[in-house]
Amino acid sequence: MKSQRVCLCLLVSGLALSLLSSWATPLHAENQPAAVASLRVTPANIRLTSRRSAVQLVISGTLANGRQIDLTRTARYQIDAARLIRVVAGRVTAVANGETVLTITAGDHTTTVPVSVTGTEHADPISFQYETLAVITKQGCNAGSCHGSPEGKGGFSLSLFAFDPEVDKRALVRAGFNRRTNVYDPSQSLILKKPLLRIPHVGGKRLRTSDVAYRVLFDWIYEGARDDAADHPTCTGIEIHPGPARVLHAPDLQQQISVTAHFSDGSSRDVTRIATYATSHKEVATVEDDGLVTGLQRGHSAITVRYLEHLESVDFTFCEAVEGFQWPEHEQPRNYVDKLVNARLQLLQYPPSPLCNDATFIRRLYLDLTGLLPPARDVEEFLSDNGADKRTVWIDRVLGSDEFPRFQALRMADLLRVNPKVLTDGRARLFADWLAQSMRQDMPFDEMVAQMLTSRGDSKLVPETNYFAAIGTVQEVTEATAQLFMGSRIQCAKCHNHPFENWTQNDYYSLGAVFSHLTRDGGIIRPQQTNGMANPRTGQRMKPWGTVRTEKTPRPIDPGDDARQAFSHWLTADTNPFFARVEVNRIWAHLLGRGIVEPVDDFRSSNPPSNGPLLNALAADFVANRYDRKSIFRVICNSRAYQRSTETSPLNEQDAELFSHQRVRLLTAEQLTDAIGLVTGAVAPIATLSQEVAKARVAIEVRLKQLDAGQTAWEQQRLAVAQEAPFWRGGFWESSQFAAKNGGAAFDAPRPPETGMLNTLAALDAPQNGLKVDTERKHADSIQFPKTGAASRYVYHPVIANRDCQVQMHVTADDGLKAWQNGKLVYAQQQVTDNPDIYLQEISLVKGLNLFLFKPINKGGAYHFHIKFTHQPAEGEKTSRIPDLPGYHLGVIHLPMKQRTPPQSQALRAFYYRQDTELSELRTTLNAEGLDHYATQRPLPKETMFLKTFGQPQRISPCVCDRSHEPSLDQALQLLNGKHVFDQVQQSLQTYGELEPGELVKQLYLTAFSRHPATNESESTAAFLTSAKNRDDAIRDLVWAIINTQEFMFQH
Amino acid sequence: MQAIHPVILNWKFLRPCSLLILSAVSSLATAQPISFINDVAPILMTRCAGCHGPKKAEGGYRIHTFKFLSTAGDAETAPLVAGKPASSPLWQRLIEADTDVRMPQDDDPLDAQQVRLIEQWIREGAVFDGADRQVNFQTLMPPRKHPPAPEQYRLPVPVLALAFSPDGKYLATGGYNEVVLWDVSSGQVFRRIGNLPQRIQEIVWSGENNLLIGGGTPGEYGELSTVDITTGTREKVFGTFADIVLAVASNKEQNRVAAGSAGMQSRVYDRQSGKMLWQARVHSDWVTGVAFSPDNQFLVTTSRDQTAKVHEMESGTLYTTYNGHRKQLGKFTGRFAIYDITFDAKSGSVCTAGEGRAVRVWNPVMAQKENGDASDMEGRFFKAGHTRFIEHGLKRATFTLAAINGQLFAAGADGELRQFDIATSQPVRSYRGHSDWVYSVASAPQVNLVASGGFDGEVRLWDTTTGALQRTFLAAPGLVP
Repeated sequence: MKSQRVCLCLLVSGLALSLLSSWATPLHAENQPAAVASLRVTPANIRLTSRRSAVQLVISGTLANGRQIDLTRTARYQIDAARLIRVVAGRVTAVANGETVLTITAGDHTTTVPVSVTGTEHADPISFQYETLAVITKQGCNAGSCHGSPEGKGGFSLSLFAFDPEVDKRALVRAGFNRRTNVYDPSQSLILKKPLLRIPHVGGKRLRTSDVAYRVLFDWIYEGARDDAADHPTCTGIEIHPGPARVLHAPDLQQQISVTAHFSDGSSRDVTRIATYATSHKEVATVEDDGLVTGLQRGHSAITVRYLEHLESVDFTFCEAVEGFQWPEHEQPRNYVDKLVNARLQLLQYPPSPLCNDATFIRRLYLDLTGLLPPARDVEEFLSDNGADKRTVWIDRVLGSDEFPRFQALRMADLLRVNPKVLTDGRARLFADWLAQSMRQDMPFDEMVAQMLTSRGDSKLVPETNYFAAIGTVQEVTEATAQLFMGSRIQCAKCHNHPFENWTQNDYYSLGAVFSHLTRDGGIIRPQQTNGMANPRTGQRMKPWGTVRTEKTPRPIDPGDDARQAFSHWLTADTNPFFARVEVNRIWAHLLGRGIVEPVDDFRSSNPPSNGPLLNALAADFVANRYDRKSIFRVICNSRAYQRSTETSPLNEQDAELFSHQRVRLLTAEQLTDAIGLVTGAVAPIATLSQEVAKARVAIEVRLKQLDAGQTAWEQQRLAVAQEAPFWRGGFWESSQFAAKNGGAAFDAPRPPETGMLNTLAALDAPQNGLKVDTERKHADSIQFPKTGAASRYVYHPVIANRDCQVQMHVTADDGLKAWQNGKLVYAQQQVTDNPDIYLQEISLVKGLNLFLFKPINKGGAYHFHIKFTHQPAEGEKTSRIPDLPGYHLGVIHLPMKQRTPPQSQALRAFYYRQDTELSELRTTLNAEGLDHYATQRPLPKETMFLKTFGQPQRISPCVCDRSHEPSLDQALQLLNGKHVFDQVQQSLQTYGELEPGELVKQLYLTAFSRHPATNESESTAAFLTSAKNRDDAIRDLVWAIINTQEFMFQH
Repeated sequence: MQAIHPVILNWKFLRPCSLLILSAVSSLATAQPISFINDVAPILMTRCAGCHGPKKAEGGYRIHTFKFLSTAGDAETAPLVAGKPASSPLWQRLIEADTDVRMPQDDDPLDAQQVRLIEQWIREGAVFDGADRQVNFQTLMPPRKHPPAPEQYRLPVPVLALAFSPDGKYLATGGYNEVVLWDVSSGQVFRRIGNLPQRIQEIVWSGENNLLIGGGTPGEYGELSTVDITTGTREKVFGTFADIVLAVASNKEQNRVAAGSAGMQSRVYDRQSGKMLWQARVHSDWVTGVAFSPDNQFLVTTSRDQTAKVHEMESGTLYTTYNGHRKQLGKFTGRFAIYDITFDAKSGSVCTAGEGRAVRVWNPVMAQKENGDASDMEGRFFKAGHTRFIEHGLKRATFTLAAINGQLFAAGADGELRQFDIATSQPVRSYRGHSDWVYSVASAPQVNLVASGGFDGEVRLWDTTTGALQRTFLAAPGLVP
């Protein structure tokens, strides 16, 4: 132990020399600078209930100065003459039955703990599930890179971290012809010989005979390698002492942890020695197999304890006196953010950097909030403003600008995968505009998320439904929702319990069940009846996550409910542990360059916040302010923490996560593009554009009102045309594919036709039928099936006759086809033949509805059929005209307004709007002439080489990591002589060509750096310009040089 | 608790280890020169080869061949100086006080006997008495001497092997370091034959008084040998393997024997001379079954690698690979490990089974034809194939098969023994009663019996004419339940 301490000491850099002596000698309470004021023993009484039962004590002392100290290993333990127990390093084990008292002494303090020992006369066999599997996890056998990988290793496969005891029992005992355990001679067992390296083991040395794990495995095998009795109580959870957080001060940087598992029968068992420990910050703290934590340097580290599928963490903070540390006097908190940031800095002794200067501040503020460099005019105004609270005033001013919501929408759109390649037909623009609008209107974040999560309707019309349209599968929706709004990466739990979080596989499918009942045929998002989602491993159907909030009490979800509603209630409830914290952390990370929890979407107990109270306070503030994102931006921007300089002092340069100084950050791809555009003048200043945009917006509003007023007349006109013709045709309703179990026979009988066309449209369109209709197919007469499954589908097609009439049905099909008219078989061909006659069928249409049902007969491959009806007009009769709108809409306009469902109305309206050329021209104007020049102001990004090089995300994942922050050689080349920079610099003459050298330099510096040039800069630049042979070249060179300065590329 | 630990109470179970010490002591005591292969190599292989062996070379040093052993690793110092243990790092590192330097690192030190033995071997000149300096010691080491069987079983051990005597009077069961012969009529022990490999994986009755046995120690040693039941001794060891032998077979004429091991090797020996005719390493996982075709044309081997390989019996040349356990099309798709094989002498068909819900019945020649050539690749996938599938409906693995007189017996992880008629693929009878997995089955048509052996050590004898259970006993002599 002694040599180990010395070793540790060598590892620690930057520790004051005075610490050496205390490291090198065992800690004694007597040696403490402050005396122990009180003792606390956990647990307060000891009950040992079986032969092998043991209890790890944790002896905590409180010093006179209020600090906590661990005395577990230094206290003196005295037992009485009966010797019923044994105590080693605070671990109490049973010897014989009886009642006794344990006396514990530390310094001048003595306390006693009552002890009862029972049950030592009975056998106490090893529990397979609760001991054997725990130590197999502890030794790392079932880790993801070893036998816990899906394929196992060397033919031996275990479940990851023992999440499936059945699999493990089989693998360890019965599989491989009982190869791995030897009950007759346990030491001959392969599962011992291999990790002991008695025979070659690719995984190396994993076990020592002195390990607790060896004892457990040996005894378990010796006792017959048996599973637990069926009625063995199950573990309900673990409890850790001390927890959930602990602050230790040098020199007392050690802490014993105790872990107790609680079982379903009310019993509990000390599992300190068989639990698994991990540290989040190896350089800050280590933890030994027996739960002894040792701090190596100041900082914080979570110690994560795993016992089977249960995970808990203790958040340790280690403090030590730093020579020369002094809290700056001027550092007074501006708001609660500062109070909490400073408290942490004072505890860990990092002095904060002072505030940044005004020029740095205004540039930082504009870039963070709007994505753009501040206009030169604004910079001058701000710098010359003498108001005491000018920063606060300007924060409000920038927060009120239209650029703020647009830039923030861009960031949201990145995460929500607003990608025009996926969200086609204008969906991406619709969704992106909605995001910007929600930000512009300060829509409460809970409301906005709830709207997305419970949205339904046509994604071409209802913007928020694109949340679902953008994501392919139920699993992806589940995972994205958890990552975006719960900060949880639950992907792992799809196949097995999450290895580093408390998410189980059942939880995953319970969350999945929230979205599993959605259909998205034709881009229309519809919830269906929910039947839960099955866990594929166990076959158990999981009920959707969340509860329905009724008037008074919550109740469980019924199959009839839209499970999304209940989930969204749960998610956006004020008490939700994730929702508010995740969003404020995202805002914090955007403004400070690092989340309080980092990565921002990886909230778990083993990845603790660097400042928990701060995160909690921000979240509470967010809830109290009704989830107003702007208010959180405001409070953070107004804090000293945000306004600090990026300059560090020797005492705080080591700090990377406590926010003692701001971070220097490379401009993002979009910020940099716009910054170059603004400095060179290649894009017009934003002020001149806003007016054009506003004008177009108003014009659109006016036109929409006109169109709404004219819709009825437009419909009447089309109705008249339809009624003039002898018949008209509705759309094609395709069934989704039938399950294979129905076989082919089920489709040979037609479904009963419904009565009356108007009812039928509604019936066909009803979500529960699961029929798909293409609302945009204008001449509805052909259907194309994909390569597989045509034979297991059918197609409805309503034809409305205005009078009885005789028509010819022309059939073109890739293979056979059957057709029914109002339930009667009217056409049946098993296959394609050369006889053209079979493709023509006389049909008598009856007045009213003729519901046709088509059933493809397909032997394989893609399938396509085409149906045409012709009518020979009687003498003197006019030939019929086909109305110019799709059959589906034609059906809808036959319905009275009140009978139309919202999706029907939405679809018709959108079709109607699209007919209008004036409206579409106005929209083009808005987009083209609008702010789309700016990469930071358009939520649908352009895809340029330059943007890609600087890390523009592809919008294919809900992870912030989709945006790359890695510097690359490519970036340097792009800036030095890339085409984009070259082209833009060419245009700088128009901006600067006419200016006097002095004015030119001033404008350039104000735009690029948000500051006035220093005298020497101004002079040398002016001299360069005047002495240049070619003034134009000199200006271009100058602008180019500015772009390539660090001051320009970074925000400070 | 510590004081009454089972290791100490039951030290006698650690016999392989104590045996090693005994042999060392005897060498030391009688002042015979130490044999490297017999005395030193076993220590090196168990204590050092884990880090310095075929799979790992810590410090750039390996010890599993003599050439490696005597070649310096990264340290660039000769590991052995003949006659001078103190100058030989190989020995010096064993006795270092500093645990960071001492070998084996991060592990218990070698015991004093072993250290002394190595010291003396170096002092005597560090002589290599093996056949080949470049060959793994494992293959040079002589067959192991096995400890006697336990006098009294403390716990039952799984019955992995069963065989009836030709007259059906006796049943041989595989035990721990032994084979036990049971009198079928009384269910009593007839004879125990100890000093055999730790696990007996397969027994074949070879002639009146001989047993062919395959077994070993999982992960480190396998053996194919014969036992003379009249003398109760191991008669001949055909060969040793790097991992346990899982399957053995003899042809009808009793002039060829074969074995397959978890070390992925298959071998055929001449029964009389003991000469190895060929060996093959064509499987990528354990060889779980071997069987000769009744016409002596083929040896078929099965493996956990989901294939069966057909070898020409005399040459070992690979004739074809049967892929019916990893079908991608058809009713019985999936990828399944194979655990056992048997030939149906009547039809000349092979029966193979393992994971999955059906036994495959197929013919080596047809399988070869169906495999076709490379140009036939496309069509091959759509071929139905000649394989017949005897569906048993068991979702878990089938471990054991026996075919006799056109009847197939199959059993596995649901504890049920099933009988099928091979010609019709129809189930004939189910024998229910085992409460644990069944690993072995043997049939004796001359007395209308079939025997099955379970994981829990239980052996059941069934009457094949009535399906009735005739007798049950625990194959663990002396066990007090």
